[in-house]
Amino acid sequence: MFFNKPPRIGYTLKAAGLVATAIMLSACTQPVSKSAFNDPYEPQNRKVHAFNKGLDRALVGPTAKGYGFITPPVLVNMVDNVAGYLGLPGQAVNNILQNDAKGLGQTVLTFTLNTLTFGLGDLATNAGVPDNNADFGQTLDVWGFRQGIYHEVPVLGPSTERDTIGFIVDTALNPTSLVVPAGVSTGFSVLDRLGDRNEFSDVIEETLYESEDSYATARSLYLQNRNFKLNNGVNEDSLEDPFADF
Amino acid sequence: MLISNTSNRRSFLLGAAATAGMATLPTASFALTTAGAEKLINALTADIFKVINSGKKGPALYKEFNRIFNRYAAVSAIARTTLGPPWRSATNDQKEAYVQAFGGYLSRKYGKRFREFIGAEIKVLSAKSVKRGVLVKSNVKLKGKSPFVVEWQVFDRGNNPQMFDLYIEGISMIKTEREEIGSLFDRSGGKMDKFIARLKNAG
Repeated sequence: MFFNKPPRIGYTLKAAGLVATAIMLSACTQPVSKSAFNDPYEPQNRKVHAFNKGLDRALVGPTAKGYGFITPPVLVNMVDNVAGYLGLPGQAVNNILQNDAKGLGQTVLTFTLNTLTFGLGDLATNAGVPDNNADFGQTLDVWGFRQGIYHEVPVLGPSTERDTIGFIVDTALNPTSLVVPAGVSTGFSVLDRLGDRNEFSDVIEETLYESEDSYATARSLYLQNRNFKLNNGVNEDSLEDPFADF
Repeated sequence: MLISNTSNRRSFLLGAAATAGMATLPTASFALTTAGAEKLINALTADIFKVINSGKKGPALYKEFNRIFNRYAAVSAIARTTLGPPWRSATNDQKEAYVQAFGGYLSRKYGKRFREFIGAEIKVLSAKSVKRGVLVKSNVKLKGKSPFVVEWQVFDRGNNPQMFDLYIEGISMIKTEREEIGSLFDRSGGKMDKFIARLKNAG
């Protein structure tokens, strides 16, 4: 394994450095939330949303459909598997940083089983090994960092301060890049995203083009799903109250 | 009981229990059991699949969905919670018209996507008591897609377990519909009758 003790400390230090920088950068934000969400920059975010929507309509959506149309499903599946496989070392690092032995066991087992297929297949999921999807945004959550403001990132879409920092750290410090050129990993994850855009086109298009307010819907869906993942299930305190009085 | 209104009494009891720091108390004092909640969800999903596999389409299918929805779910509680504060200022007639329009809207909206559920498999995994009812966890596998988690919030309405909310990978139907319904309400200039008329054609 390429993450023994020394790299782990190095990783932690580097991660801490990046986090510190990002926090200093975001220190100028002054949350003045009007909605139920921490979204003080809603007007700016809506502009980014309009841009992302235009990008999806003109480029990403059609490209994803083209990709899904010309590529045999078996191959799309393999690309998904490889992209997931290349993410496993980073996932393992996050399991360690979160002190999550069970998660680490799942990740290592997934890596071991899928290595038998050179990463092209997903024996682990077929064998029922749970997918824990640990990322650095989640690690920051475990470490007690707050979620911060919601924002929509150009091209990448909905996120929060904490998740964006997490994404940057995961991308910059991906241990896979020690073995595989970063461009290869990025290529696979772009294709993986196109595959997802195609596979879930019904629900994505319903959200973007058919909902009353696609910005608000996307924000709500993102935050709900993200909190579900951070919490490993629905947070009981966030359940709606059937007897609520207005 | 001095307080005759069931829902007021229950919310009072829930509040009292929470204040006393006994969040688990409702489990013991209410009739709703985890087994009862699981039974409800099993019956509900069995009915849905029966309708999907019946070959019905369009308005006939939406009608069946609406019937199932009214049988198993607390439609008026769902409609009220989704709408939020405007509910309070509505007249009784408006409330009734809204609840009915809301049931039709949801049936159309989810009914339109029934094709995705052909050949799907659902498995109830577990159920646990929570502060606001029982949460039933299930695993859904659509044809050709990765399995995902659906959790159902069931609550007890006068010894009658009913579905209240569902969470698909953590995404709540009520919270999501609140965005839609809220936008529709705003676009109707905050006018209840206009909003209800629009809701009847939405979804």
